[in-house]
Amino acid sequence: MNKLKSPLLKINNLQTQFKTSEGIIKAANNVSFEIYPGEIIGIVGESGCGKSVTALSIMQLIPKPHGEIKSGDILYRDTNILNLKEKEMQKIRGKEISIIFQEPMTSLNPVLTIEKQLTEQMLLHLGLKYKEAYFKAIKLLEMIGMPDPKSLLKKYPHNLSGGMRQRIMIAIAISCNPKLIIADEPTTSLDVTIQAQILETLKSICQTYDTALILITHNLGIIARYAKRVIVMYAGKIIEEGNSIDIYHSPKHPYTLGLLKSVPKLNNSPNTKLEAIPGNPPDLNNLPSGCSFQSRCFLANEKCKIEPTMTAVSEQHWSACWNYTKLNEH
Amino acid sequence: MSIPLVQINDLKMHFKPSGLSLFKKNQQIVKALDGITLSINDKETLGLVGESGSGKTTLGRCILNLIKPTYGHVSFKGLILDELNSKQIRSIRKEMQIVFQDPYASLNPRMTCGDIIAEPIIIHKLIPNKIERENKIKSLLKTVGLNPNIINRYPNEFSGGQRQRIAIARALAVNPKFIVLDEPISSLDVSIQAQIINLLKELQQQFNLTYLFIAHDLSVVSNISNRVAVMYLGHVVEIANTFDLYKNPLHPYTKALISAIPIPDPIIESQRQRMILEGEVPSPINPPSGCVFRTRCPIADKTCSQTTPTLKKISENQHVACLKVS
Repeated sequence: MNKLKSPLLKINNLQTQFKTSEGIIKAANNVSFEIYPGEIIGIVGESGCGKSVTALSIMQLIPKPHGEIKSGDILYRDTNILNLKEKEMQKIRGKEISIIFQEPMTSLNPVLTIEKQLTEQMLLHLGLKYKEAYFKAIKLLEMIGMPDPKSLLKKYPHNLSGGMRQRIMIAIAISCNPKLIIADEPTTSLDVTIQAQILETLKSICQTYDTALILITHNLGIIARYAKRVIVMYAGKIIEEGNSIDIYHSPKHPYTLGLLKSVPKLNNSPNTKLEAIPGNPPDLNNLPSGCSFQSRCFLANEKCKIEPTMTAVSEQHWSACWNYTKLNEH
Repeated sequence: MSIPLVQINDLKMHFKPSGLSLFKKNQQIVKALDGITLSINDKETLGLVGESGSGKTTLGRCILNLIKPTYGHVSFKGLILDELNSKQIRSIRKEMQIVFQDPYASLNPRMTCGDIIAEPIIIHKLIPNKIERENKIKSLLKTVGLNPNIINRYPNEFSGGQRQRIAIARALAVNPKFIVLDEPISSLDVSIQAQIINLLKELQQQFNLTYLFIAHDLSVVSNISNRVAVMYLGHVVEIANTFDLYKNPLHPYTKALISAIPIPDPIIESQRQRMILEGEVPSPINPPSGCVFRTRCPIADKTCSQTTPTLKKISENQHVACLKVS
């Protein structure tokens, strides 16, 4: 199985922090996980859980000076990319690992044509002549299902709809055949039917080129549809990890369980009462000592005053909860 | 049989984009709503679902008389809103309220929570006595699950979910009969959305409210609504009981919409048939002739470009606007 291959990316104890006027926020707090070649994993969590910060940390795009990666390793094929100088990191960014951001309106350059933006990385990383890059750009647009690529290349981002812009982002992300794509909330601002098109395109590209994909979203449905393995984050930490079926059908953390019970499902009968998680999302400036979830947790007890560690609850399934065995009864 | 609380007849809302030259031969018109007929019954929740450009927000605002329709009528309690004078309209406004999508934009950051909730009470002169008014505000805050002591605090001290509760308290302040909820939970975190949905359901029972619940998320709409209307490019393409809509969607767009929504269950997902729509939503400035959905429809043919379908009754609880469905 996976044990025969070595991981493409391995993150060990990542600590990313931000200095704010109210103190230091541990946005990614001791984050560790790995991803194998060709695998699709999902990172799910709500706002402030640290999923986007983790993505930006991998790409080393954490804004300075208020943000910094305090400690930890990020091993890309045995090289710790956190030790690389910026010039060396540029050879990884866009070529080996690409990222697709959430807001296509602001992540495409408004004053450059699509042609300029699509060819930029290929010229930089693949050493192509301009004509070669241009033809490759046309091929990329055809591959992602864009009509009339030649005239599309002459357009500017503001001439295109949100869905089309996001498809351009995907084209840019795959242009240099990366081994890993990080998609950070790639469809949140898009209509549902366009979302479906885009995710199907992304999935089929990853399958064709055996590209690994980290799909980051708060949408539990998207994760269920596409990810084989799921990582759940809360208040900067990973609180559960496992394969998709275990996470959805046998969750072993009260937060994961709470999230699954609170999400309206299309196949439920109408007016099913939703079981909401009580309380408010965590304030990262004011976390309790011990488990960050305890103030909202129906299983919380004295043990929770000590920070839980990730424990194997079964093969390939881990949870950071002292009381996870009580969840069997639910 | 009683009349519906809200009745909409052949409503059209055509906008002329500003800055057009007088000399332009073909005036460009945005057909945000192009002939909507539907009714909302007392104490029911009608869900209104559609993607961007469908016209659902425009419809919500027309119903509340926040914008005047180009053609057609909105009636509330049997009274046609266009025919009322300003005094009568003002009186009716007490009975219909709105909760907006963005709790960061819909509360005045320079007013305290107490003042925000007091404002409509003061405008409608409902409680002249200051102490009584304050008691009412505190009671409303409790009703929406907030501590009454926040009356002197400002909105920026609260989270999105808490602000939305303040917005709901404001909507309830004038004892309305009807509330338009325009994407009330889309900006909120997933774990908070359920709290607000449950609150809205409780309030509906407690105060005998009628809701128009507008959203792009059919999963959410289905959970709270008795009936759902599906909109596409200014038209209602299907309207049915929530259960029937999901179990037996008839319009090809409804089918595609349902297929596009991922269900949080990997086993169910692996067994589902996908129906992916090709292409983009056409511009409402130049909608396709005949059926506006035909350019993306898997079963469209020549007749679909010639005739605009109207809602046909298929069963007691289901109406569809499609030439290919009988």
